Amino acid sequence: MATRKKVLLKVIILGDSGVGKTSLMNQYVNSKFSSQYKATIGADFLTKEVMVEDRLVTMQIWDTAGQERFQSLGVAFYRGADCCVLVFDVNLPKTFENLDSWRDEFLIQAGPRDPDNFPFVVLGNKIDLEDQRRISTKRAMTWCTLKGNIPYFETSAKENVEVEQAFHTIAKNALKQENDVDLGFPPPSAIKLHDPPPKQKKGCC
Amino acid sequence: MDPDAEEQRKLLNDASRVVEAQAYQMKLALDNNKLMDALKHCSDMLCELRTSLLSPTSYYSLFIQVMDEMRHMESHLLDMHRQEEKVSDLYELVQYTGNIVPRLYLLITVGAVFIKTFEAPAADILRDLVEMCKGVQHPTRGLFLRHYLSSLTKDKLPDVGNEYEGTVESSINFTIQNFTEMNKLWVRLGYQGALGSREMRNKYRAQLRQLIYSNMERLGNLEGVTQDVYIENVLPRVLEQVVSCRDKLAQESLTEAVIQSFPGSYHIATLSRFLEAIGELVPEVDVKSLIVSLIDRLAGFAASDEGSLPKDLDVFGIFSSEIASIMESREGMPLEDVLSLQVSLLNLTLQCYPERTENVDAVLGYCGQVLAASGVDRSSVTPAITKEVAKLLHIPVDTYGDMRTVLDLANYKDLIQYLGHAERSVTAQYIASAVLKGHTPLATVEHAQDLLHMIACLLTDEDDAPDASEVDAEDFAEEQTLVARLIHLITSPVADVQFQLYVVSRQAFGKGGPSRIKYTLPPLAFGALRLTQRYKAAGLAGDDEMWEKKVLKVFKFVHQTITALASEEPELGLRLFLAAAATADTCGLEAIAYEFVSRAFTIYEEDINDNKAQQAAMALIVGGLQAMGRRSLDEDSYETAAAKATAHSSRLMLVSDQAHGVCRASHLFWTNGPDEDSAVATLELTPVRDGERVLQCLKKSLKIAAKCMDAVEQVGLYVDILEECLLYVDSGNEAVTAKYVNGLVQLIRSNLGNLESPTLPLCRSGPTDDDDGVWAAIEL
Repeated sequence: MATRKKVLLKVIILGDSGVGKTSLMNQYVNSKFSSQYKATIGADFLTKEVMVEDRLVTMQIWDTAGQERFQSLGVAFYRGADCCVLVFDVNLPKTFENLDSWRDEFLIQAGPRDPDNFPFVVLGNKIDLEDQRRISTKRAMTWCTLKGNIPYFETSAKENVEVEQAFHTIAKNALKQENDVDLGFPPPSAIKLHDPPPKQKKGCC
Repeated sequence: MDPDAEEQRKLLNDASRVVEAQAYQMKLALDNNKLMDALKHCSDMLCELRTSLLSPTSYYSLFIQVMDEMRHMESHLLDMHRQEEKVSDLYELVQYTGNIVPRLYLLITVGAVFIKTFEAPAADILRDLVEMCKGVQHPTRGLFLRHYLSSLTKDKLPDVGNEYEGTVESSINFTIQNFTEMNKLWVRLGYQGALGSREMRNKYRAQLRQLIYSNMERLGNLEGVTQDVYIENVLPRVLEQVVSCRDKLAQESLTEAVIQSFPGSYHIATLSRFLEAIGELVPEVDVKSLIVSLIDRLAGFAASDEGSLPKDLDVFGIFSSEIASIMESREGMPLEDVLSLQVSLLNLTLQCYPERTENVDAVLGYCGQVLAASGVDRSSVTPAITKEVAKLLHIPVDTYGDMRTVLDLANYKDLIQYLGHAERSVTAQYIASAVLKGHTPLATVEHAQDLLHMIACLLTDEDDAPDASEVDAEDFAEEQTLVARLIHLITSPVADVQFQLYVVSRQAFGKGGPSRIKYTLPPLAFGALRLTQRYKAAGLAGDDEMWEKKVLKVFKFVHQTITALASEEPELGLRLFLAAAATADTCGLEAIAYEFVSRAFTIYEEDINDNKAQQAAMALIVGGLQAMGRRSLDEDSYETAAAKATAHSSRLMLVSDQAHGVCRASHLFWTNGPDEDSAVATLELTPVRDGERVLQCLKKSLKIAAKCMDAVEQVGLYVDILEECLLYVDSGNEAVTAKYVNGLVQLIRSNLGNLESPTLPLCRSGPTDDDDGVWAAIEL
């Protein structure tokens, strides 16, 4: 179990409505960009196979609705994530300021085993609109440093800037997380089913 | 914790534990290449999804957990394919799974891999799968199963730009078929009594909405769904399904999903059709929110760089007429919803057609009509309606910035009448602040009148105004100061128009009552006084032959204005009359200047009773009169005024005030000559140099001081009079002789000697070097 030959990773992309989460995912997975804006409804994923450190990795990337009203079933899909990507729009300060609440919300809902060391990656998107920029690299980097040295990338889904590099880091860090987690033992209930320990029997009586 | 939630948690926990255990066994079997064992454990795991006990959100949690585990199976199957094993056999094999739920999940999983192998046409497999899913008719289980189908196949649908065998049309058919079936299950859930109360069922349905939505997204993501395909083959079928299901929640959710899932340009191309369909929805549907959502979507589209509105298509016009016909077909739509729709329309036109103010006016006009027809008035208006009317009034202000553009909207001004007093006042202040902030002078009588009409509730106590005792004094002062400042922006570069503007403002302000005019009339009076100077300058430059006549008219206006104010605020009136007198004086208008001075005296005599106020008022009168001196006033007039001032000064309440007052009045008889620096001097000042009268005043003052009962105060008064004497000696008044001054000094000395305290501080204890001239004349 410790060395399953194939690795399946799960990555969650979070951020305010309209910052470009779907566009980043589409650029990375399909190498496509559309300027037509469509709100994402609910949560949906795309998969991509990549080589990371000589291992074939299947990444399942979950794109989410920035608007809560479209997530009527809740955020159960956060569970089991190996990495969380926080996206903001460098031209809209509000989207940067909300990173905190997205991060907190994720940690609460996903409940990772070691929240302090859970891998996040921050993407400052839409850098192609350079003249409208409102959040400096320095400001974003400071936030990332304060939150435990989160890797930070400045991306443009539109012009495919740094998207590949960002997702490579995401995959690498997710893989590290997955390695830590998957060295597990069979779940206790699995043991119970086939070989109930005698101790438990005693306790019942 | 609520018992249901606790129960759900426990059920989910149990199921989740089984999934975990079976998944472990499945992965173990997969790692050991025991596919049959793996499939068995996989099937056992999937059996947990057969439950009917979980709420949609709990079921979703379990579903997600299962889906995470199914990835391992999927990945293994893909590996098998890569090692040249046939997946088609497996597709047959899993159909022997005993139970239908695990069977179909497995079939979908294998089917998805099967498509990827290109062993059979994707379209055929998809058609097969979507048909097979009919086997599960339980709403929640069926919905999630079909969602799984949709999730696993979404990247394998034949489309433009991929190699899966089949047409885009087959993908559209597949998605719409799956969507239609899901919609049926979802609608049916609302009518299944077994699932508890109707309220509970609706809550569950609302939670499951997301699964139905996702079908629209799939269609929106197909590249082959071009605008033409959307118009021909997608929208009509979706709308038919939406309209025919006749279910409020489904119609609302699906329409919203269509609005969000397709590009703005598609919506523009199908606007009329789409709005017509909205009109056909069941009466309970909240069409307002749907139209607002569509309008906001298009406004966002127009504002973005993804495209612009086609020039030949009047989006605003289509919305207006479609909305009007929807209104007609839906009687009884709440008035606030009708207005809220118009607010969205207003935003749309301001966003998309900023230069077309006629659209804005049309919206406002329509709202005016609707409000008038509803019979609502400012006393019966509800908070919800108030909110919308306030938006209608505020949005143009925010957008245009320049209040002139706003005031030019014919239908704008009357809407404010539908607001209750408090909200009307807030809006009026909002508008007044906008004028001040925009620094855009209102230069025409029409604009001024419009503005004054809009802020009428600040200018008078309207019939619905709260009782004065309920008004916070500070808020009131702030509000009136705001109004007073407006006068500085009701300005025209043309003097004649400016006068008209003042007349109009005066009419409006005049109705404000005592509490308001003390704020609003003074700036108006000062403004008018400044206007006389403009006329005079124009007259002197030879640009206006009629200037003197016009100035007279302005002074008449000033006179009326101050008179109105003085009856309520005598002290303020007195000051303003003196200022007016000084201005009239510089214009050389003797009679008018004298009239203003007389009015100041009248106010003093009749309305100022407090001794401190009298003292202060007399100081102002003497000061004003002395500054005017004899420019326009002839000898008689000046003499009359000066004598009167002197007499009044001597009759002030306190002895010390009398002594100081008469002393001060002495200066009325010793004034300056022409001031060479003065730019305003069109007439020369004639100096008044009546030394004897000055001496008389000083003597009188001394006599008054002698009556003072307090010895210390008395010496102080003597010293003050001595100071005045020295001033006159210095300026060459020969009537004030050294002998007289000496006598005064003697008097002070002897009085000082009589005082008990020898350490009384003296003003001056001896001569200083720099005023030898004076002191030399006095033998100490």
